[in-house]
Amino acid sequence: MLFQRGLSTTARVSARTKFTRPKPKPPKRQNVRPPTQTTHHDNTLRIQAPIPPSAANIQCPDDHPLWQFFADKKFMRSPEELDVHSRPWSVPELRRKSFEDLHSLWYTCLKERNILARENHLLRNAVGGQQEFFEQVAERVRTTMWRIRHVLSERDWAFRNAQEAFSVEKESFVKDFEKEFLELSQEQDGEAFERLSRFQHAIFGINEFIDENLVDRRFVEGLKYVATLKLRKFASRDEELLNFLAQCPDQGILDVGEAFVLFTSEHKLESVKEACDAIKELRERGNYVPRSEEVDTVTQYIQRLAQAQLESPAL
Amino acid sequence: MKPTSINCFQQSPINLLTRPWKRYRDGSLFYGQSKTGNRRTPITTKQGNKTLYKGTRSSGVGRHTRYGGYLINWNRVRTFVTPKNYNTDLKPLVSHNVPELKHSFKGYSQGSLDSQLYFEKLKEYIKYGKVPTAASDVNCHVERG
Repeated sequence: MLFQRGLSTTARVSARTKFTRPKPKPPKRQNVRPPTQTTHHDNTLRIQAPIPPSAANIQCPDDHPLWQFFADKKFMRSPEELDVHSRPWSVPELRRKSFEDLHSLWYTCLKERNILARENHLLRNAVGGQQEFFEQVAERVRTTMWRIRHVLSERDWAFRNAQEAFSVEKESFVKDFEKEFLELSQEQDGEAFERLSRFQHAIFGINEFIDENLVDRRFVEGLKYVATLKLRKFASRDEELLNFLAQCPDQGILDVGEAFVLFTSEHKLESVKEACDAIKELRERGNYVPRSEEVDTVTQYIQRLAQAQLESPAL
Repeated sequence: MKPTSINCFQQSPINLLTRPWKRYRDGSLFYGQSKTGNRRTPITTKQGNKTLYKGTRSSGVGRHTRYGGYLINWNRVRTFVTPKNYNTDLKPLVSHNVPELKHSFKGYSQGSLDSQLYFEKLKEYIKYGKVPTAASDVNCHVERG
């Protein structure tokens, strides 16, 4: 029907006189979107026996999440069952709790308030009561909740104030610790180094778990300080180390590569001696880390150390 | 730029009483009372004609697709962070038989926000680690803080 408007002869001339093979069907298309709506026209309907409406026919698993809106799976608690005498948590009591505990308590309170709100709504609308005992308990739970927020904000402000004041206090704080640390005898070494690990975590942010550390300038300074402190601790027991310490410029470890060797050595006299020998070797070879590359170098060291620990989990 | 009104600097009692920056067109003074009411409040959802939809800037966590579906943008969906180690032992209320704990911040002027108190606690932590202090005894009801 292509040449409907052609000349009178056109159709006859271009008419198909031979049999030609019809074109093959196009291949079936992939990725066809299934219909978004199905109807009953495709015989999916089946007739079943009518289900009589009764509560027994409704099945609900015991761990259904909506049970969290019910207390003891009850429709509504009676005023006798309700805890009307208890008081909210006080602020000093909450101050003793950790963040995890406060977080948990917050969610417990939230769930309890959901239950109470549901029961109160039923009392007002389904039962038609005008009593206020659900609201009274909910108000007390709410008090606990604002006190949790109060304690958290208090903690935050205390931390900020302390951070501000620490720039002034740092010197005396560190000196006090140093004195106590060096005074502890050889028998108390275990306790002393536990204290040191807590101290370096609090002041310099050096974590006990190597791979959780974030290396920055404070970390590097801490590394140097801890290495020096460790050397001083063992220098009082050994003549050789004392000489080594006296040779160091400014009576301390100033190079971060040396500090790292000392830092990673075990808390024993022999290991510290070995570390000192390694440091002497480094110095002979003229290995120094320039100040501008300290952070990057330590990051690499830490990564290598973490890798080594991963490969030998027995240690 | 509009020049500053001279009236602002003239210290006559009437000028101090009136608001020279608010006058009617005919020049009479505006004392903050008008018969037509305040017309400069934001409109509410109940005002305007039938085409006005004010909305509450709520909803809209995704977009509609051409085929009638709805794609949710999960960045806009509200999330609740639940505690990792949920401590179910803590209850929302405390028994009324338990006397309330008191904190006496003796010697610390700023109470719980005092930085000296913070350092004191830090020193104790470094010395003893995470151990319960004497003050966290059950029968102790007044502690340092």
